[in-house]
Amino acid sequence: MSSTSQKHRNFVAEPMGDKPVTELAGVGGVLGERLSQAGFDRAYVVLGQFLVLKKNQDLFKEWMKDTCSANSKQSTDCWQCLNDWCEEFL
Amino acid sequence: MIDVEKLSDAELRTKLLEFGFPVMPITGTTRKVMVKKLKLLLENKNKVGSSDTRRSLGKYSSEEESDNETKSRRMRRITLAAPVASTSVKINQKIVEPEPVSSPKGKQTSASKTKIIRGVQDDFDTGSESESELVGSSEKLNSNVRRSPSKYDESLEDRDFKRRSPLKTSLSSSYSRYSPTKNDDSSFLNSRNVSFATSSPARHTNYGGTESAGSGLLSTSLASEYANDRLNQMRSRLSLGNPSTPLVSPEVKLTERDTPFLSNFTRRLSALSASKKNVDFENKNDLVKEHDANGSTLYGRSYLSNFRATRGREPTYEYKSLQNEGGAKGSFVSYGVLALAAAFFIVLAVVYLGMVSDTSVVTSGYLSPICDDSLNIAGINCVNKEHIQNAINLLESIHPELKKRAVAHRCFDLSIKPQMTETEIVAFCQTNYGIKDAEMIRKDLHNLEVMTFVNPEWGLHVAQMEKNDGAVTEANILTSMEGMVPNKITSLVLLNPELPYKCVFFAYLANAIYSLTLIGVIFAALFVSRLGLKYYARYQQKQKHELNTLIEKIIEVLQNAASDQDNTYVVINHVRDAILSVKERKEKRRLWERAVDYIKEHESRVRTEVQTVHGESYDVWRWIGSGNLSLCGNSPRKSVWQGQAFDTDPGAANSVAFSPTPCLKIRGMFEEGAGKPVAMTVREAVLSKIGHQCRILHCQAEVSSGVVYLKCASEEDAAIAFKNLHGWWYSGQLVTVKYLRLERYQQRYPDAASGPPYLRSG
Repeated sequence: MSSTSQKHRNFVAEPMGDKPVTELAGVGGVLGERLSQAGFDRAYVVLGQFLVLKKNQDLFKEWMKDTCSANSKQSTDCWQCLNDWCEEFL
Repeated sequence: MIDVEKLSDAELRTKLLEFGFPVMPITGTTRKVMVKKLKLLLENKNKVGSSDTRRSLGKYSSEEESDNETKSRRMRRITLAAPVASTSVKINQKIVEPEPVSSPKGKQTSASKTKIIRGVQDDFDTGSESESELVGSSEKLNSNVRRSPSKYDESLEDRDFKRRSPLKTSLSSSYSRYSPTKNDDSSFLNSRNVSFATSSPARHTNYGGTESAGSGLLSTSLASEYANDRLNQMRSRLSLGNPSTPLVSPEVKLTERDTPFLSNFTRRLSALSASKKNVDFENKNDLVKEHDANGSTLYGRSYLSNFRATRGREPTYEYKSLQNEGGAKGSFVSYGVLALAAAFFIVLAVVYLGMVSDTSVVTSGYLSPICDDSLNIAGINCVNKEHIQNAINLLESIHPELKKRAVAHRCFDLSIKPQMTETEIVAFCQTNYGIKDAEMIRKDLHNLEVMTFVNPEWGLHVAQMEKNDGAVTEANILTSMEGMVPNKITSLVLLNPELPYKCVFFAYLANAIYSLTLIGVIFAALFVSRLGLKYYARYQQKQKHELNTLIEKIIEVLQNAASDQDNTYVVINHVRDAILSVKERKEKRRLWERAVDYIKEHESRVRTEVQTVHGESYDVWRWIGSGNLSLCGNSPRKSVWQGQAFDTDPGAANSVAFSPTPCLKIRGMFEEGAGKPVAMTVREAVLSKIGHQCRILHCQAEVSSGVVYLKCASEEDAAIAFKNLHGWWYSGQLVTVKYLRLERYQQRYPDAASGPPYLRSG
C-alpha cells in the first residue's frame, strides 16, 4: 500500500457512526448501490461482515467480489480501510 | 466426492476444519465464500501432484508472511491449530512415560521399547493381522525411508514420522491399511474423534503416530498431503476435545501461553520449507523439553532426555549426516575420479620415462657371425667363436664412453667429436682397464666392428675418414667390412644415442623459441611493411592534395593577372615566387615542377609559351580562358543593380496605372537580419538609383525584416521610384515594390520628414 486515498483517511479519522456504505474507501456509487441491494446499506454492516470473516483479507476480497463484483483494487482498498479503522477504534 | 453446495453450515464448518482452514462462522453471507474455499481445497487435494497442494498451502503462508499486519498474523497463527500441534508432540512423549516404571532407566533398548509399543498397540488395535507381521513391515518401511533421505524433504509430517518411526510404524501400518477408505467418511471420523477425545493420552499419541506413519507408507506424492490433512484434522479434534480431557489440558494451556515459540512452530508447519528442517527438529525437541519442565513431573523429564537421546536424536543426526554426506560425497567422488585419472597419467609418464632410459648394452640376443668352413673369411664377415666374448666385453666397456661423447656432441658442444677412433679406443682401454696388450685390443675391436655390421640394433656404426678432424656424418658410415680401407682412420660412433630428457627438452625449447622468433620476425616484417604501405599511401595522398592546391593557386593567379591586365601572360617563375614563400621554394621544387608539368599537359585554358620579358626570354603562362569564368560562379557581384527583369512602363502588364500613395515598401533587396552595413549599402543603392529622378523625403532599410521603406514627396515621385525599382535585379535577387498607405508609414515612422530637404545619394 503505497499511499492511501483521501476517502480512506477521512473514514479512518473518526468513528463510523451511521455512515453510508459509500463512505468506505474503494466503494463508490455503483458498488454502494449493489451492496445496498444485498442488504449492506451502512458501513457498519460491512464492518460486521469484515469481522465475521475474521479480518481475513482473502476471504473479504472474495466476498466483495461475490457480493458486488468489486475488482481487486476496490476490495483491497475497502479491506485496508476497515482494517485500519479497526486498528484505530476497535 | 461430496456435493459441497448441499452441506449444512455445520458440516461445511467441519469440513473446513479438516483442512486446517481458519474457519469463520458460517452465516448466510459468508457461506458462499466458504463453499468456494472448500471447493478449492478439495480440488487441490484431489490433484495427483501434491506439489500443487503444497504450493497452495505455501501461498497462504507466504501471504501471511508478507502481510504487514501482525495482528492478522497472530490471529491466523492461533487459529491454525498451532497449540494443538504442540500438544500432539507432548502426548507423544507421554505414551512412553509408563515405560521407565516398568524397566530400569539405564537399560532402555529398542527392543523393550517396541515391546511396550506393541502392548499399547494391543490395546488400540481392534481387528488387524498378527503383530509380528506388522512390525516387520514397519521395519521394512523404516529402512526404506531411511535409505532415501530425499523423501524426508517431502513434508514436516514425514519427519515427525521418522522421529517416532522405530516405535510407531507397527501401529501405523495397521492403520494405513484401512485409512484410505476412511478418508472421506466424515461420520466415521467423527466417531473416532469422540472416542479419541475421551480415551487415554496414550491412544492419542498412537493415533498421531499412526497417521504420520501411514503417510510414510503411502510414500507417494499424496502422502505428505494426506499426512497434512490428517494432522490438521487431528489437531482440530484435539483442540475440541481438550477441555474434556483433563490429562491434556494443562499442557494446552502452557502451549497457549508460550506464544513466541508457537508462532515459530506454526510458521514452520505451514511453510514446509525443507532447508531448515534440522534446526526445526532440534527446536521441536527443545519445545518438548521445555513444556515438560513446565507442566509435568521431573521424572517425565528425565525420561524425556532418555527418549530424545535414544530415539529422537539418533535418527535426526543420522538424517543430517546422510544429507551432508550426500552433498559432500557427490563432489568428493568427482574429485576422486579426477585425481585418479591424474595419478594414472602421472604413473604412466613415470613408467614411460623409466622405460626409455635403458642404458645397458646388449648382452644377449645378438647375432654372432661365427666362422665355419664355408665362404666366410675371418675378420671380414665372420668372427671366431672364442673371440666373441672378448669383443662383447670391449663393446660394454667402450659403450658408455661412446654414448657420453655422442650425447655431448648432440646436446652441448658440436665441437666434441662423437666418434672414437681405433687409437682412442686402445688408449681408453689401456688407461681405464689397465690392459697392456694393445694388439689384443685391436683384434677385439676388429671383431667388434665385424659384429657391428650384423647387429644394427646396437646403434653402433663403423666410420672411416681421411682425417680425424670433424664429427662423423652419415656419409662416412661403412655398410660392410668390405668397404674398409686400410689407410683411413677407422672409428666407432653412436649416431642416434638415447638423449637425456634435459637435452631433449632444451632442444625442443630451442626449437620452439627459434620458430617463435621466426614467426615473430615474419609478423614484424609484415606489420612494418603494412605500416610502410599505409604511410606511403598517406604520403601520396598528401602530395596529391598539395599539388592540387598549388595548381588551383596558380590558376587563380593567372586568372587575376588575366582580368587585371591586357598583357595576359605571366612569367612562370614569378608565379612560383608569388605562391611559394622563400623558405618553401627549395623544399617544394619537385612539387612545383610537377604542377608545372600538370598545367602544361592538362590545363587547356593555360598556354605555356616563351616570351621576352625585359630583354630575357622566359617561360610564361598565358591565360586564354574567359576571365570571369570562375569568378561569376564563385563570388556574385555585390551591391550592384543588374538590370530590369520585366517592363514596368505605363501600359505594361506589371505597371500600376496611377500611384495611390507616396509611400513604398521595397522587398527582396537583402536578406533578413543581414546586418547594419548591408542595410546601409542597400539604402545607399536605392538612393543612388532614384535619388536624382524623384524627391525622396525618407528612406529606411529595416534589418529585422529585410525591407526598405521609402517615402517620396508626392504620388508622382512615388510612381517614378516604383518604375525604377520594381522588377529589377539587385545583387542576384529580384526586387519587388509595393505601395504603402501613408497612415501606416506615419505609424511606423512618426518622425519621418514631410518636407524638404530631399534625400540624395552619398
